[in-house]
Amino acid sequence: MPQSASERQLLQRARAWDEAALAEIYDRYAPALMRYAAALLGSQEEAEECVAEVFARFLTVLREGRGPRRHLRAYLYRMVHNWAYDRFRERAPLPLDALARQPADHADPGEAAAQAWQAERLRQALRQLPRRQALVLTLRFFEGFSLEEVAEVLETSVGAVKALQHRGIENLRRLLQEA
Amino acid sequence: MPEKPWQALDDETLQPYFQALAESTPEPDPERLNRVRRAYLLLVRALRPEPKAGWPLGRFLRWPQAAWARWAVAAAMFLLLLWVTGAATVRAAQNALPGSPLYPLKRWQETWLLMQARDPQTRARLHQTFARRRIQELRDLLAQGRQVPSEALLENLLLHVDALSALAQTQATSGTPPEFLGEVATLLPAAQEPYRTALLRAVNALLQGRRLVGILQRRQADVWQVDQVQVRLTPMTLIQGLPQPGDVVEVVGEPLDDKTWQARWVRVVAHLGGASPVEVTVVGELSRTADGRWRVGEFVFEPQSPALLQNLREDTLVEARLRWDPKRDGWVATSLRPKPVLTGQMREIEGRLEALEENRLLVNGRWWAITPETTIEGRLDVGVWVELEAWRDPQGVWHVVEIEVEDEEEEESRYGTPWAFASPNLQRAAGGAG
Repeated sequence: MPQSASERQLLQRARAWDEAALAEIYDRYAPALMRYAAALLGSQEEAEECVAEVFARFLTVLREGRGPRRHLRAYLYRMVHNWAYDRFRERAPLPLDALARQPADHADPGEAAAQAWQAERLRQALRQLPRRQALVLTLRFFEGFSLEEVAEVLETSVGAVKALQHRGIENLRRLLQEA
Repeated sequence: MPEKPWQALDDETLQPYFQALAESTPEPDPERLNRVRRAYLLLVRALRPEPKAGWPLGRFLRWPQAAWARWAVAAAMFLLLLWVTGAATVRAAQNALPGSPLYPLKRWQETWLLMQARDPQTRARLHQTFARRRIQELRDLLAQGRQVPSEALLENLLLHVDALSALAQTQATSGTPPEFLGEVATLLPAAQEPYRTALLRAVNALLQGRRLVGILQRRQADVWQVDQVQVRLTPMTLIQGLPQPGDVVEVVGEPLDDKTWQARWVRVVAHLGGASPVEVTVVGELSRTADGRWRVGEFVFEPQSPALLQNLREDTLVEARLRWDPKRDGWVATSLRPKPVLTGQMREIEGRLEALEENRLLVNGRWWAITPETTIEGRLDVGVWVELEAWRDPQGVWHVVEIEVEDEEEEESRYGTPWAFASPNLQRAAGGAG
């Protein structure tokens, strides 16, 4: 997706430290980023921590005159993914049998447990993939990004994204079958 | 066009997993979003840049490059100085603080003196004097309770310190006196936000890359052990974040001749455990270290029992479950499970570049061959984070097909800090050269 004019203008205003623009950036992107972080990390608490750190870091780099010149959304998604990936490296995975705390309001507790178990298996498999493959798969099939949008996030070509997606799917299938 | 993201996936075995991930991830809690928003907006205000000083010639007058320009500017300034002020005014300006009408005069005089100083020793002496003046001004401002960040003042301090360092590298001068760091650090307790943040940035800049990052293995009163390195603490050492054995800490200071470190600042990079057991699971190839221990990825360890290594040999891809053992001051493998190579003979790995030679590079304790067919994206330097795609020939040599260097900015964003993170076993030399 080509970068919208409004995002470009927003970034320009943010670079001039326009507080309204900085607030708008948060309001525009934080909800989706927090959900994305929660999906990767499997924890609302850690997602909150992740988004707080990512936005703090964004301000710091902006303040130093660095940071994104374009494709702000792509930049923020990459930061969130990297943060989550590094968190994986710091901690041991949760045992699968400790999973599946069933949401109280779910119509079918059995189905909810199965779904949570599947989601956690996917998370654990994604952690074992190379970072860029995992990023492509989650953006494509969780966030619904197009190939062009993922290419913006990775700062690479659409062809390279297709190759990463292909290898990622192969590896992911194998990991899930092994587990 | 699929309605749901996972429907774009052709693979029917994977679709239910992504569907489960999407359906089991709720929308974010508005209360959490608001909490983070409030903190973010506070930070926006705290980091608001100070308006630039309204002195249009300031940047030009700093350090003209050409000799004729220096003389022209110096002469003009000198005449201007004589015309505008008398000697008494110049003397009175010596005690002026930022915000005072005489303060610009004080800075003009310093610029003029520096432009007149031709030999390196004199320039070094002047830079030292002016750096001290800036620190004294910071102290005086704090004593007056003026908690206003003065970026221009801090920038000028760093400018003098940078100039001293540059002179030390190119000329036989005494260089940057290390006590500057201590002097600025002593101001921290009295400073409040956002002045404190600005001061911390100045301290950070004064450190000039002297740091050590690793796992805190033992802490005693004044000697801590970080990745086999003895770190000495003094009453001046700033400790941030209650570091506990097992945490990843960053030590800022100086390596001493006896291979110990003098710490000026220790902070927690990541809490790995503290009171609870520290465990990680890591997948990689098993290899032997020079001192007879074992290694997977970046982690060096000993097996909990020799039986774990039965039927395993070097190069085997394994999933290792590791526990930090405070008694041994090291990682212990509690489980080693062989795993099949992911894609036939092809492998993708990532890690920190530990050594680089003409035709090979060392990542995660293994040498990888670079061939004329290898595609290299980015600049290879020891210490950078790389992703490799490689294949193994029948002789067991790994040939790199593609190397990608992770860019520095992205690396920083991963840790939310301008400082680099080192692997659990990697000791970083001063300046991050690795």
